[in-house]
Amino acid sequence: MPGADIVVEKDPTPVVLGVAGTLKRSAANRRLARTLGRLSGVLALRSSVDRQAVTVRFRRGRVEVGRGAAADADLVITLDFNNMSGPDAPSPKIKGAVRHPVLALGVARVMEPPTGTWQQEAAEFWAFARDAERMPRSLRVVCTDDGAELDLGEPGEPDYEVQGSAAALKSVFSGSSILGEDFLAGKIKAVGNFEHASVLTGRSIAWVMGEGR
Amino acid sequence: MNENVEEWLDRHQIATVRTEGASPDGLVLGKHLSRAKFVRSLPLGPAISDIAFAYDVGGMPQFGWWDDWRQECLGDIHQRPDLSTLIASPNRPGMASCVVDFTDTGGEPLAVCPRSVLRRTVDRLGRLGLAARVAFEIEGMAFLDSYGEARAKGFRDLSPMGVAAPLGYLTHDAHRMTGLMDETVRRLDGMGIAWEAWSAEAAPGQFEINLEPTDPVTAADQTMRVRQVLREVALDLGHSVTFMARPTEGYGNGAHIHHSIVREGSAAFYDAATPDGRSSLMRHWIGGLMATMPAAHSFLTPTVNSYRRMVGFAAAPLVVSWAEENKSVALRVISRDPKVARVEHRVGAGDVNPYLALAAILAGGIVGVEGGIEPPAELRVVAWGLPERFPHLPDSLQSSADALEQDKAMADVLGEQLVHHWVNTRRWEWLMFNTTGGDPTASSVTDWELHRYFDLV
Repeated sequence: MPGADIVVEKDPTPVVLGVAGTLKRSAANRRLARTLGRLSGVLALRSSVDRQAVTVRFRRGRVEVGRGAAADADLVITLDFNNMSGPDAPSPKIKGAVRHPVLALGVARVMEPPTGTWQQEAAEFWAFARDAERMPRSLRVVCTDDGAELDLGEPGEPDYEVQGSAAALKSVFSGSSILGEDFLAGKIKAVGNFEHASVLTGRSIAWVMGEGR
Repeated sequence: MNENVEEWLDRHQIATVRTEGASPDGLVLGKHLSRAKFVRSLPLGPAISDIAFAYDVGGMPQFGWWDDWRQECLGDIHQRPDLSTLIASPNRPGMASCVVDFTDTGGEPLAVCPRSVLRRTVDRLGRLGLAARVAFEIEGMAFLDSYGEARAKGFRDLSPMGVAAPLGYLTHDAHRMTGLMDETVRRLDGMGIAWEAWSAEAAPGQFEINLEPTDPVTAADQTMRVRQVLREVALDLGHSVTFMARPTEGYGNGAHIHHSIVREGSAAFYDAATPDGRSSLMRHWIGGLMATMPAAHSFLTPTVNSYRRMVGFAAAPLVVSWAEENKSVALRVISRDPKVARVEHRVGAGDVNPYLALAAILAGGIVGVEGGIEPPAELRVVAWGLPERFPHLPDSLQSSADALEQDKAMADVLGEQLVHHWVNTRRWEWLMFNTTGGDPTASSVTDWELHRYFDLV
């Protein structure tokens, strides 16, 4: 991978995997990979709502991701890991940006790699998930903002249908949130059975944790 | 059959029958049935929703995978009573209880029903011409606080029913528990559950009850019932009991499982012709237990809290090991005499599901016998504080689940569906701990664990 080698701790926590997954997406982007290759310093990400925390050590191309908030962190960002990008996401609190502006600017870029449209993200998710055991053979995604539809998989009546706003669809299919959680929270609606809901959620969890990146 | 049941119900003047079956998490699920409904429901037994097997201990529906036993849009499963386990309650006049197997609506045992998994494993052992005799050691901790008081305190700073010093067997320590334990053994006697001994154990408020050896399914049934009785007596007396592996900073609760193998009525672990008294069957049995121990570990340490017990010098084994008369290893082997020849499997945490823990152990033995596996060298040293070059047991829910997923021999005996479901439930538990308030960096029991497990496992 050009510019960055993302190294995850042994027996990582979910949030470590999630952050590592985000960094892998950045590493796959030529411009952000160059940023990763230059970055140096220690970043701590702390949850504002629970005990989840991650430390990322940038070593000019080698990026080590592990649990907990390191005491020697140059930059500490407190945020809600479960709601990082939604319209109601609380603003993260940042400490250390003034003393470490290059690190802060670089982190801002690599922690938010560019995403595509909800259609592009849904297609990428489908390519990742479609071959898993017991997956629906076809998935219809409907954007409630404008009624746009995207059919994925085998033609014909879909086995499963997901509906939501463009923001909600983008969030779940880009791996920023988990399908089952968003379904239970009412952020997306779905038509289908529990088997497909469960298996899609399993793939969604894996996607959030960086599998397939 | 129904006539016999009705006669039995008449003779014991039973008006209500409680069904009791263990979920994969070891929670005892059941219904209180009127006598008429119980009789009418036979042989399939009452129906419950299949979601009962798809909730986690915190009550959250588990998402992420699927198995054949589940119905696409929720449906029923049945609790098929095993009428040989029907017993009258010694403390609730007019009530009986009956242990059940979980089946689909056609009466086929669920692939993930713990009791049915154990039955299948015992049947496979039987096809080798072998039978097991099993005795559980049940450890728990008792507190003077009621469950309500304990919950109000966040399960912290409770008053243990015992002295503060970490000393075992103290009779005056045990005396502090007599209210709880005398009533418990009175009920066990009334239920026909043969207990051998109880004593105060090393952690404050800790007790141990030893049951007499019996066949595997009965041993697991009795363990489930003894825990249930202890919880109910504690509830009735305004106290609390937990089987969490490590609810406090003291020694943890284990579930040591003693077992021996019988062939044609004789002790098959013993061979007087060998210098150490161990038969070739015993060697292969130990070989199989050793080879499958990392995989079995997932069933023997099933919760986040199970791993709190697995620290140096806290009495729990940490390495894949066996030895004659060595209580620091995973498998304490006793082969000096045919009357006592047995293996004490010491890995299990107090919060195990007794059916699945025992099935995993028997499965390991079966793998060893079928494959003729020779054990590695006996570990003749203290098995705590050993350097990394010794094969350590998996130290987390995730690594244990990974080990189980990779062990095809265990899946062959226990069933692929069971292993698939179990591995996913453990990964789900890990996910819940990390993402719903648990602290993955904590070195001692967290509030998340106490609130999730204290009065349930």
